[in-house]
Amino acid sequence: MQQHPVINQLTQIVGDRNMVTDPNELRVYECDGFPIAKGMPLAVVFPENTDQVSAVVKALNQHELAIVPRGSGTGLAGGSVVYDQGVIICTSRMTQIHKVDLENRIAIVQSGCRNSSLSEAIACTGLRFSPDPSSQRAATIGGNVCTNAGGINTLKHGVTTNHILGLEVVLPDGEILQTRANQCYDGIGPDLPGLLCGSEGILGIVTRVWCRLVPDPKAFRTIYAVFKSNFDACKTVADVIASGILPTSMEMMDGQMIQVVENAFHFGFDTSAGALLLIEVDGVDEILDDEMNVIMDIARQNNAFDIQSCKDAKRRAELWSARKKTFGAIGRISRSYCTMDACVPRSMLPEVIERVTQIGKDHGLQINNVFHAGDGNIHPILLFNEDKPEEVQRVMQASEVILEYCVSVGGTITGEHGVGVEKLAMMHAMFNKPTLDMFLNIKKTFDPRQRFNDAKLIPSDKLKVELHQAPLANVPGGAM
Amino acid sequence: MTLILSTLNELTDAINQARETNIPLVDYGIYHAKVGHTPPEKHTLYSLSGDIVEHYVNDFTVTAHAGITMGQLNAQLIQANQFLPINCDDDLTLGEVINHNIYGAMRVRYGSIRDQLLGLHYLDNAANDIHVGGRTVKNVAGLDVTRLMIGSMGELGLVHQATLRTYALPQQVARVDLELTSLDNLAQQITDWMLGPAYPTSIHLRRMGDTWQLEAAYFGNEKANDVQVQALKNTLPEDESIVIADERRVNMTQHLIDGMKSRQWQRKCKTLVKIVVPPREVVTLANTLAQMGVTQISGMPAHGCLLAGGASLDSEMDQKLIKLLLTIGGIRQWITPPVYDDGKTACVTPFAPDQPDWEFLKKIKKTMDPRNLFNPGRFLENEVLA
Ligand SMILES: Cc1cc2nc3c(=O)[nH]c(=O)nc-3n(C[C@H](O)[C@H](O)[C@H](O)COP(=O)(O)OP(=O)(O)OC[C@H]3O[C@@H](n4cnc5c(N)ncnc54)[C@H](O)[C@@H]3O)c2cc1C
Repeated sequence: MQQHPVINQLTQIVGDRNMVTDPNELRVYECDGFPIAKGMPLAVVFPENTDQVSAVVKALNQHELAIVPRGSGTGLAGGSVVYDQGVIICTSRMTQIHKVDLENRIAIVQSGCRNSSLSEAIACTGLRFSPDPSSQRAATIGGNVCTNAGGINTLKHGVTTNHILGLEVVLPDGEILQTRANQCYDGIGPDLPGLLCGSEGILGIVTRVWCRLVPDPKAFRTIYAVFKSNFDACKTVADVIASGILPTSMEMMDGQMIQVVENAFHFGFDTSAGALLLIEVDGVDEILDDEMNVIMDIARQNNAFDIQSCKDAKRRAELWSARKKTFGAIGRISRSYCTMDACVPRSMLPEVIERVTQIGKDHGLQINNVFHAGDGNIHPILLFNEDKPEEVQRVMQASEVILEYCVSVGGTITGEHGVGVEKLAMMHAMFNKPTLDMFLNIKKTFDPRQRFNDAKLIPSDKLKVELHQAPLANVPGGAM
Repeated sequence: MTLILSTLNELTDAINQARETNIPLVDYGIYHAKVGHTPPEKHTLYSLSGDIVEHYVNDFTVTAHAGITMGQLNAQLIQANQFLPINCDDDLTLGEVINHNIYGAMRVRYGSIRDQLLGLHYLDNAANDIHVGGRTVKNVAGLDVTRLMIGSMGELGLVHQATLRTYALPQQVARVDLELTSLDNLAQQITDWMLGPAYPTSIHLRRMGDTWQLEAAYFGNEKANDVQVQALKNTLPEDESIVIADERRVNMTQHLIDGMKSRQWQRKCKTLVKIVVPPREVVTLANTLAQMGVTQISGMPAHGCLLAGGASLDSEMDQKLIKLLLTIGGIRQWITPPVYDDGKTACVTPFAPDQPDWEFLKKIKKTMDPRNLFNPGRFLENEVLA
């Protein structure tokens, strides 16, 4: 087969070693963490700096090719999948930490720098980059920015957008734009970095990020509370929020998840439990016990039958490791599962989780729950047998019913995974036509030719993704 | 005459009228009435009024009309033992706070309005009701136009409703006023506090006559505040370059009132400028302003933001200031600019130095306000790039 003429041009810009064109190697880039959506790229380019990104974009424009930005491909909504035989620009070789400026509490990094690389680089400074998605070992900071990633800390410390001060972006025409004043905590005029955060690569490629660093809390208390029912655990979450205490995190696992995790990793969890909450508070050591006691009282009032607390670093690490391993363990009980992502007002959690379970029953499906309860960010996990197409169909139907229900109680169709291609069809449930038109107009302002990660995030007639298969258990599919 | 608009119908009618007559709608707000280029001669002045739409007490979120004043909003939240941690005067509307990305000393712990805003409704050129963001504390559905609107100076659409996070009212506020003989150790001192138990909730710097004062405040219960104030005392330098001038405990309402009193000078000033620099450079900036003879200075050193005012600020000083900002990095915007002898026309540019994204922001303005109906020319349209 004859090679597309752009390949030569791209190779000249980034060099041979920064190109993938072999069909076998390209398979890796066919999908991201949402393997239902698949598309084979023409090539994958790995620029090493902003000028190369700019030159690559300009070359691809000459050939009118579709462009898809990609970080590490851990996204869970199909955001970095190529349709139309386009080219992926992957930032994973733009890993430099340009500067750590402790006095200004800022780090300037290339967008392909992994989240955990920055954390490791500043580990001894007393400061940290707060966004902590469970994928932080793999995910890039550019990816975090473009999905506005959250994490376990989000409840108290905010999501990625709260920690971004400025961005450098290669626009769809190849020009380089820098937003906001250098190293300043404020700008003048509309908040462009705010708009780019969570834009899922449809407005340009982020090449450099000014990250805000915040003090790393030194003192913690971790609470582990076990309940007979989901309802009681959710009620505890709602009551803690209503009490005005703002924990660092409040994570929940339901009874089935406890069993799965315990059977797999033997952390010593009570397998007869209906639900488990992991709650953490951070701050000034001397006052944490008081906060912890209030939370434990609330848990008791909601029928917690086993409550433990710890300030010991080892036990704390064990408990959080249990939380982070949950998704790995699901594969042991089901070959296939679909992890959903929605967010609801926290006071609604008890009802929402009951309703989700009921929807599962109505569709003849087992649904497990492990989620960022303090944020109201639910992740129902729908288990099924992929060899039964009819069951897959039921999973898709149940997912839709769950999302519609979440929207109806004041929630959103996605709390952290994004829309990508996965939730395009659900966008109409969230936004009226003028709002969707406005999104498209903004997109066109950045990308008049609409070739940049087109047909993602904003529903259009161009792309109809058939979501009839569900992810296998052996692929990363789920937020933790 | 100023149109007071309250209902959605009134807002829609006003936009339709503006579109039909080609006479734009202008609302510069109260505190920011002189920010930016002056509006075109023919315009319709309007302001919003409003109330709380729903306070989701147990979710710690509130939905309110953009026309509600911050005084009204906080008064109602405080009844439910909650508040909105924005340092601003009671007469500012929520809309003005959003349009100008207001923040103050409490930003140290609570962030700015940018961190508290969850969703909003605005009307576009065609009077369509656009709803972005929502009620939940996490939400990544669609483009984050909620945040784009922050700081947009009312140029991109007519924001009429917003949902925000609220916070628990602390039992008490412990305030420590410190006197500084010089600013030399300021940056280091603030970093030391932030890295340890003395991490304040709020930090405010002001120049009183010839001396510098720093107010560090802690929000919590009595025990927590005791611990943190003691921790602060433990960090003070032995050379007495920073000493405690006063110490008191007040409730939140009093703290907010005191804050407003301490900001009164800003309204009385003949000229007032807001300057933002990298936090490390705040000492250079403060010292330069003091050397220029500026006596009225206050601000948020942790975020590199200072407000400076007084009769002495004129166009010559502005040139020096811009030169400094080009060296150390940063931006400035006039809240009340100095004027020519006619008493009206500003003799300085409203915003400087030029920023690399302004050209692009103009494109966004064109997209979102193609008929140029909302505060036209205030920031983006007339900006002349040097
Ligand atoms: C095991 C696992 C755990 C996870 N846990 C969490 C979690 O706790 N919280 C959470 O929020 N998410 C989580 N995720 C989802 C995912 O890791 C995050 O969305 C992450 O931020 C994606 O980063 P990435 O570098 O892999 O981006 P990719 O997956 O490569 O891309 C994601 C999107 O961003 C765009 N993009 C990426 N880089 C750029 C760039 N430089 N410029 C422009 N656009 C770009 C892509 O086009 C795509 O639309 C998890 C995923 C997995 C597999």
